[in-house]
Amino acid sequence: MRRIVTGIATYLAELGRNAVQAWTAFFFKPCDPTSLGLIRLVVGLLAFWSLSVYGLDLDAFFGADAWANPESVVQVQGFDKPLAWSFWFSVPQALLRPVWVICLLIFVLFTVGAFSRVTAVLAWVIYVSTVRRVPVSLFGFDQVMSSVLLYLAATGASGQAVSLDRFYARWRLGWVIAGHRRGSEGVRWDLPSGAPEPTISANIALRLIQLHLCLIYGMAGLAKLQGQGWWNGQAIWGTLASGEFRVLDFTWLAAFPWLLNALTHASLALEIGYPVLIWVRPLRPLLLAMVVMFHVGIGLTAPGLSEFGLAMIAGNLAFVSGPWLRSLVTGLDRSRPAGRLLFDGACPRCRASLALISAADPDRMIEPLDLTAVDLSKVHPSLSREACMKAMHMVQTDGTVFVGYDAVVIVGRMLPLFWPAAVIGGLPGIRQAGRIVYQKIADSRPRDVVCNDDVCSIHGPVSAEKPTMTFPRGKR
Amino acid sequence: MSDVATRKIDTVRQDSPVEIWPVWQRWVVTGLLAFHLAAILAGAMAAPPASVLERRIAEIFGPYHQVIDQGYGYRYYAPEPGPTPVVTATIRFTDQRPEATVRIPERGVSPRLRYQRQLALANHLATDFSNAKRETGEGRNSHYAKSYARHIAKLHPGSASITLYVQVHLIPDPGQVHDALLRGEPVNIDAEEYYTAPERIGEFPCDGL
Repeated sequence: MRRIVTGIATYLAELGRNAVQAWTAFFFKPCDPTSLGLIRLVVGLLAFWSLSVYGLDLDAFFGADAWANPESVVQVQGFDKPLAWSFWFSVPQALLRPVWVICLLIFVLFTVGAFSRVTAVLAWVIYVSTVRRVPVSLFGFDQVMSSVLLYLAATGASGQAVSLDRFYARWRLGWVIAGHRRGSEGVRWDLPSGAPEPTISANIALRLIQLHLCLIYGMAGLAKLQGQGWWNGQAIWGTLASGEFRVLDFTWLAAFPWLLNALTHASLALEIGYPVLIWVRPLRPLLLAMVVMFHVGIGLTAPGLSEFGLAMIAGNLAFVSGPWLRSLVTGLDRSRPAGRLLFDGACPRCRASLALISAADPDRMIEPLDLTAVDLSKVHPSLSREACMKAMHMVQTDGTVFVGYDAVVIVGRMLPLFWPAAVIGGLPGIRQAGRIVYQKIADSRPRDVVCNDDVCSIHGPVSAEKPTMTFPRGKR
Repeated sequence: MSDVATRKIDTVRQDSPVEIWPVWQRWVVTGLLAFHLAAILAGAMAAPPASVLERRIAEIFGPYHQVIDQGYGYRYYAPEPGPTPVVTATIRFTDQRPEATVRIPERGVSPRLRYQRQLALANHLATDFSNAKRETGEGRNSHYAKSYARHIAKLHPGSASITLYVQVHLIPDPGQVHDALLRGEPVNIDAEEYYTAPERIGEFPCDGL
């Protein structure tokens, strides 16, 4: 008897220990925040878009004589949800438009990741307030948005990657380096890699989004099992042939009942299987591809649900590895940089430009080299000191060399933050003008005073050392 | 992405110390996470049809759901995709103008998200109307019907009364559509035959709104 009791106690203790370890490993392991940053970007754009569309009928949705006027909403919500809140109820009619504009601005700041800890909370407050003010206009899209925004706000992790916050923090660090005169060995460009530091808060946010998605797909799938149409394979017809949802005519599919059956069964299988199969790593890419097809399909048959599909796809980024997402930009082989950028280390303006470029570099794609301190022939046999002193040179891994403004455009193409500028800068006409402007700036650039005596050759204690500025966790 | 590729990328940066939270912080966050996850699950499980137990548990988390806007059931297209309610409003004017009709959702409105919001307007009014009929025996008592009527009246100065109707845009039977296609006949799913007869929600005199 005692052995049985001891055995049970040992089993339970072991079970508890394993559960604690599994929970800790699941929630409290630092995780790359890149995918979270992308989720913020997409969700921010969707929130901006949604509120913009409300702006087309602002009075009709938020005004005193809206479809659902404040009294009716309070009456209905007051009965069901007495603790529901919304600042829109306190906004006077005359201030609706200014407040709407401010809300849009906050969504913009949130999207680009500026002051992200604060703007994430404000974005969630705005979204929930809107949801509470216009309950008559809501559908599944708003439920998904509200959930994802909640996790981005509560964890404060949304700006740890793909954000202006992070760019600005790295830029400041770059400025510290740029502000130092070069030593005899040239400028040491010691900015840490652009790859964001894994954090626990990012992991918690991603885990919560993952679990919430499992719940959404799982409940949607299980609830469908009550419907006959999902068993006899005809349910999908209801979405394809709905006169109010469709834009394209899919009634021809009635001639292919087996296809309707297959689509119905596949949709249901995906929703029910998702909460389990998404955790099986080898199946994850397959599941994610199916999820994307599923939501694109819904978007095609019911274009009004495109935003819902985009929100769900954004949420599914929580299952995508951050390093892999980054490798889409940087390439898989990180053993060497994609390009080497030769700059004049004696030129403060050049160093400042490098600070900007390095801050936007996702993960050491560009290796800055001070041309005054390197053997140029080892970088590329065609390089000469005179030519490099005239303009910036970019040497790509395949040996291609870009000079001056063309090098600037190539650098812009490599760094996602500068993609729009690179596209514009590469347009015919703008490129030619850019070359002229670049050369004028390069020719007139200031340089550090040449050190010819013993006094100026003594470097200050700070300048010779590695910059000591530290990054707050998650901003590095 | 292959594991080899992942490892290759991950090995590039191992220069920073791994973040570790103190035990007390992990326990506090664990408590919050457990509470939140339980609340989300309880909310999803409580959507009809639900057991008494599921509903009671969800009620415990009710205040939390209300504050953070959660507790949804996520029963999309369940039990199966249904026909779509459409609301029409007939506007009578005080002067000699002919009656005007407003359709919700308004066809041709763009962007599509705006149209989707209008679909939701019709859907919510239909649900509220149905609830009012069930609870009070009089669909006209719908909270939102009066509000919708007032909104339409404000958009149309000089209106004397607004009469709201709801009807359902049906989904054609795939077998019938198939037969029609075999006969070479075009199928117009917006034809009158695919709508139920309009059900009157109520007439709302504008001076009383």
